[in-house]
Amino acid sequence: MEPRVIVVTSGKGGVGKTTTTANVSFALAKAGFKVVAIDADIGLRNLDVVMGLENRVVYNFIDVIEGACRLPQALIRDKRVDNLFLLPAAQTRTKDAVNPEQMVDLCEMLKKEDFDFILIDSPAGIEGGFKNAAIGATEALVVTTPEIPSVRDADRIIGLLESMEKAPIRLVINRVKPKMVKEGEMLDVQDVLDVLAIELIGIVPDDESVVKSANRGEPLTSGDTSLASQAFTNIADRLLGKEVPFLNLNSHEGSGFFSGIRRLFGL
Amino acid sequence: METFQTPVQLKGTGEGLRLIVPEELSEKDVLTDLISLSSQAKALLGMKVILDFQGRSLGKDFIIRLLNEFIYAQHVCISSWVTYDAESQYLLQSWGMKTGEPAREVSPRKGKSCDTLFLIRSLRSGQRIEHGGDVVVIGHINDGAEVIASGNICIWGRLKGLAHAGSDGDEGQNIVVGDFQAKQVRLGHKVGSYLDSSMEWWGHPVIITLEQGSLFVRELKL
Repeated sequence: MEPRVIVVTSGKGGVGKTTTTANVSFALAKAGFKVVAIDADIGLRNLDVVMGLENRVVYNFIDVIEGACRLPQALIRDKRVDNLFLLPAAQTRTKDAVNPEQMVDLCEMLKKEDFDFILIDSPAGIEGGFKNAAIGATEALVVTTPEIPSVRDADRIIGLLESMEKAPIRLVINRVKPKMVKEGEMLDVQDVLDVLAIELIGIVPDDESVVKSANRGEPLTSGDTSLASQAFTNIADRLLGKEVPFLNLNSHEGSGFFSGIRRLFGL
Repeated sequence: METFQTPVQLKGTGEGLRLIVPEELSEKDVLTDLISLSSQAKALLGMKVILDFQGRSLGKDFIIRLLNEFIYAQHVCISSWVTYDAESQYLLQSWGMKTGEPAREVSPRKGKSCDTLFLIRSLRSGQRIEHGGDVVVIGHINDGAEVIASGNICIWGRLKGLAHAGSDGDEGQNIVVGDFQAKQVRLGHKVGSYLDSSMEWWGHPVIITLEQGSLFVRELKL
């Protein structure tokens, strides 16, 4: 099968692009697919930390582009699961170190390595860094939180992705706090969808386990039983075309158990 | 100790010359600066001048000194006095002086009624359309998107971004919106801000018109 190249982006920083990339990549690999996660945030790399692979970084994708090493040398294999690889960014360079043609070439090189999924963790912003991350991708995951600034930035990014002819563009709503939604202090899922009007692929609750897992370098989908972990696994399943109902977060306020999972939508 | 002071700045605009008087300058220095500026350069002769005092509070005595020593003495033609200070504005207006941003000369609307842009899509944040004529949008204008038209604007869907009708200065244009949720709207040279969800027509179909220099938003009931 032709590898699927998916850019994970948001516009606004700090909404969970890296967390989503790490967790969805891990879940896809667990499902038996060969996956590479690329950290395209040159100069501010984090994906290696969130995936717990920072101590194994020797080469990065700038080295590959510049011919300082071969692609397989820069790919870091995750030992916790079969077929998951990380291609790290350079921390000591800036976004100007690559140009769009080089990013397209890199994606073409990766496609020849028999990957099923290539996930690209985009930097925040709408400038060169984002454009480099998106140019080689065919699909996009847009991550937003249910906050007005984040939704507006996501809207901006979706406009840019549409003009770059990425399709499908799917939406992940991260850090949903059911209690705040209930009290009318936070936008609910439907409010966000009304504005962004793209396909929803995941609703991830705000969960302490996400912070813990990022600090430990253990993606939630590697074995955690939290609701956030389940939400990321569901995103991976939906990417694979499975019909998975959305979690009903209202029945789980602070519980973390699966017992009360109900259907939020009949999707 | 020597302190740094910004002198009066000159800025050419479409409405004439704008003299920007920094707030931190003392009244004495303002007068000295203005007089030396006009006598040295003779730049103010024959030009309409906007005196922009920013947020400065203007007292009676200071205004009289400005009139005598600068405006009358140097034959300066003032088109408007600009200050954000409400009391100063009131004082100037009570003396019959023009305050606020001067109204631009209205240029007749270019194009004919057939110059209509018909857009069947929504505009996302950062997207902008500008058109010399009427604009009809069958879709939403999201927060951060802009529609600028020299004619009327009709938005079938939700307006959260900016709509500016009569952008050439023609204040006889209208904006019609199916679901009004915008924080600001512009018609001609008027800007309507301070709009929020407490307004009774928020989220309803509205028509926005300019009547006697004021923006009116009315719920549209067909």
